[in-house]
Amino acid sequence: MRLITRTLALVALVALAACSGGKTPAPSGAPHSSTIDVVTTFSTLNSFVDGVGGKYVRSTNIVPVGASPETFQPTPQSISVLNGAQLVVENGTGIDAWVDRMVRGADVPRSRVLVITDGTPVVGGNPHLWMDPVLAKTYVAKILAALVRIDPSHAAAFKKNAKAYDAKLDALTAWIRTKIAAIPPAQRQLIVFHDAWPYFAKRFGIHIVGSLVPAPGQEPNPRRLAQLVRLARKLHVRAVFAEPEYSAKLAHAFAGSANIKVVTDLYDDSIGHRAVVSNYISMMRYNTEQLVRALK
Amino acid sequence: MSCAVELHKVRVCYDAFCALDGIDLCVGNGEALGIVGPNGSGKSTLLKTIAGLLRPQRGTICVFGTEPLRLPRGTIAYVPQVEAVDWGFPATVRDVVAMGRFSHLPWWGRFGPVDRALVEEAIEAVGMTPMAGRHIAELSGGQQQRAFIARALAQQPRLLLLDEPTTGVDAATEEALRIVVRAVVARGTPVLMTTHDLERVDDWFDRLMVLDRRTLALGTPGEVAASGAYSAIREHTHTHGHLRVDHDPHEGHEAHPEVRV
Amino acid sequence: MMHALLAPFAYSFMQRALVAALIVGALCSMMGTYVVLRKLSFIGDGLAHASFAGIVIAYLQNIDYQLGAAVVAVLTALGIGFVHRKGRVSLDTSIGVLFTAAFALGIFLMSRQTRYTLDLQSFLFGDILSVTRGDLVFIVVVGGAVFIAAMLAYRDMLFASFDPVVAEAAGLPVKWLDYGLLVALALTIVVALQSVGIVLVAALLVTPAAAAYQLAKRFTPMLLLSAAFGVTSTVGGLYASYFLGSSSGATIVLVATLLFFIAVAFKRFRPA
Repeated sequence: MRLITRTLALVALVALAACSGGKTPAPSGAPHSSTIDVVTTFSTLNSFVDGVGGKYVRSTNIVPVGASPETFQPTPQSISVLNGAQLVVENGTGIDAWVDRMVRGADVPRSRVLVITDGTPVVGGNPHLWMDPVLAKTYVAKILAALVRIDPSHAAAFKKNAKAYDAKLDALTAWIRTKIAAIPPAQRQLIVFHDAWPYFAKRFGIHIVGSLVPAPGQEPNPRRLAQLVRLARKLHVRAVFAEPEYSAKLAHAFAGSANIKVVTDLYDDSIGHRAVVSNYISMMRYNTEQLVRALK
Repeated sequence: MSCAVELHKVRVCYDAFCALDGIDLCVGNGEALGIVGPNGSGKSTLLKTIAGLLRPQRGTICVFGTEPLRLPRGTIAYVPQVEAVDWGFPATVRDVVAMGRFSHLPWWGRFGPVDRALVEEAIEAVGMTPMAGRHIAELSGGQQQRAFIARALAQQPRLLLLDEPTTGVDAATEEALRIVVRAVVARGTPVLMTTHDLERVDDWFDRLMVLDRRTLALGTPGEVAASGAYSAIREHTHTHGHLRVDHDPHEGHEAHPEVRV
Repeated sequence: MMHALLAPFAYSFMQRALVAALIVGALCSMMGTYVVLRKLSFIGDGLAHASFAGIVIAYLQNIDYQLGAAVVAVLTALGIGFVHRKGRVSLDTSIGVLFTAAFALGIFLMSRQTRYTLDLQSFLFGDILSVTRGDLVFIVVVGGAVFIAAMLAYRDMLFASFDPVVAEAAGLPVKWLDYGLLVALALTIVVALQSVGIVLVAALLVTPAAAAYQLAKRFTPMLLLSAAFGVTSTVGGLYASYFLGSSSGATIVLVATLLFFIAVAFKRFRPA
């Protein structure tokens, strides 16, 4: 019995040591002298915040890169990060609903929380509005309004940044249109992992035949997969896209049955995995190029 | 004469409590030794130690010249006083008795006609043939006891250890068991048996050991009766037809951490 | 009608899933016989949770997940056996302490990552639909090894399961058999993890065997009946999930449970 107790005590000590050697928590309390601390739920939103705020903001995301906000579990550290925030930016429409509880827990006043999709028409309850660069401009507009309210002294700079970013978004939209046009219309269809694409698809005339997973956090079921296989074969869909936050195994299994190829990455809610998807615009360009390459 | 079972100054303790102390014993082949003593005297502990289930803190044990744990499979058959088995286990009488043969079969071996014959013989020897196909849960206490003895017989062990096999059985069963023990002994197999019952010890045993943590007497039934060791323990043991079935915690139950996973 | 029934077989992912279901169903319920008779049900659940730590560690060290799961499950199993024997801690306490620790370790290591791409979903609930050929090889090899070992040790295991004290006295290596069973159980669980996931694998171990226990009078029939119930549950459940459009893992467990209640009812209404 003594041996067991000693072993357990040793293990506990080791665990404690491991704990204390961890990341230091984000600063809380008084804000940095000139930068506004903005906390977003997921990393894609950081692009918009940085795009408008420029050097006057410092943005951090709660959901780590590579994880999905739909299935995220907050840790105590994420709550402490909220404490120091002057602005909390969440997407809304259910994709990051968990942040509401955290915000309450961290005693962040509602005035400091921006829910971007509030008031924007949403189709089918799908939160992925930012995937349409035209709708992304509303993100920019709302972030601009919030930043101006928090820091009126730099309002002019924010407005200028926002305008420039909007221009970039317009250029992106045009670029994507051109690229998509290169795909023969009959081939503009794909099967995705989860349903992040309706707004993008509608904007650019892509047909999302279906998604492998009915909703994020839901399990795939064989009937649905079989239906998709039949559909894929019937419509001669060329590719199924896996996404990095999810296991690619299902996509491969599906592709094997449908006899189509698997393209292993499309990104939506996290950036910064690699240099080529370091911000929203490069992510969208990358996605588009992947799409075009697979479907042409 | 060499000893089939030899104990030399054996002491067996459970934590601070020593159930046996300074036991010397020599049992020869073809000998039936009866072990009597009051509750808590260490009778079950003695059998378990010889069976290799317990390790002595002091002293040495030799069974057929080696330590009990080094003996080949199937050498010792042990029938405990209280069987801690799950009576819901899916097994018939025949299944249980068949287990007696398992220790003689290698993993790749087959359970053959010889094994089957020995099983049927053993069942017959304890008078359980009509019940051979019954599930063990359907048996009475005495029938269960007989099934376990049949298993030990089927094993054809070189040493048979019986812990109070006659406790709680009727006179007919008791006589059947006595005949079995004598038959086993006649084949040259030593039998050690603990008992509460001092009646007819001459018919059962060649020698008797009176135990109360130490050896109080050891010899033929006549010698032991003359030694007066009986009177020391008489009030605790059975006389004339009424059985006391006491279950002392140190006798039939496991205080030792040899539990199975 | 026949065409409709055979429809699932048209898809390669279903074909592989069915093969996995067949093997896992038979293996788990066979091992489940020992689990139920030796009252190890809690261990099954415990080892499944413990293997989660193995998966996380494997992910962090960039090695094969199933290997990681297997190593941790086996170590935990041996640890449980050891703590129980030497520490004089009761069995369910040993299990409770060790498996919760292992599971928590997995969560702990996971939470310290600043970036992760491990899809936990599929480990918790299984992704039998994603079974690859490589997975089938693993299932066949490891499952086959466990099956062969169980068949070789069949008699000794039977005796040691029924009466460990007398078996030990008769010279059977009861201690090694106990540890061996735990290791076999750990490997069985890892094999089954992909089909039904951590949360449900315990059910696959226990329920078909429990159903067989209701109906079988002797050990070998119980083993065979358990395997039959197991395969019916996994294959039937997978099949049903195809037509119902439901989660395969959960459907499998529900079918197993349905069979259990049918077995209980049948036993009740049979003349004694």
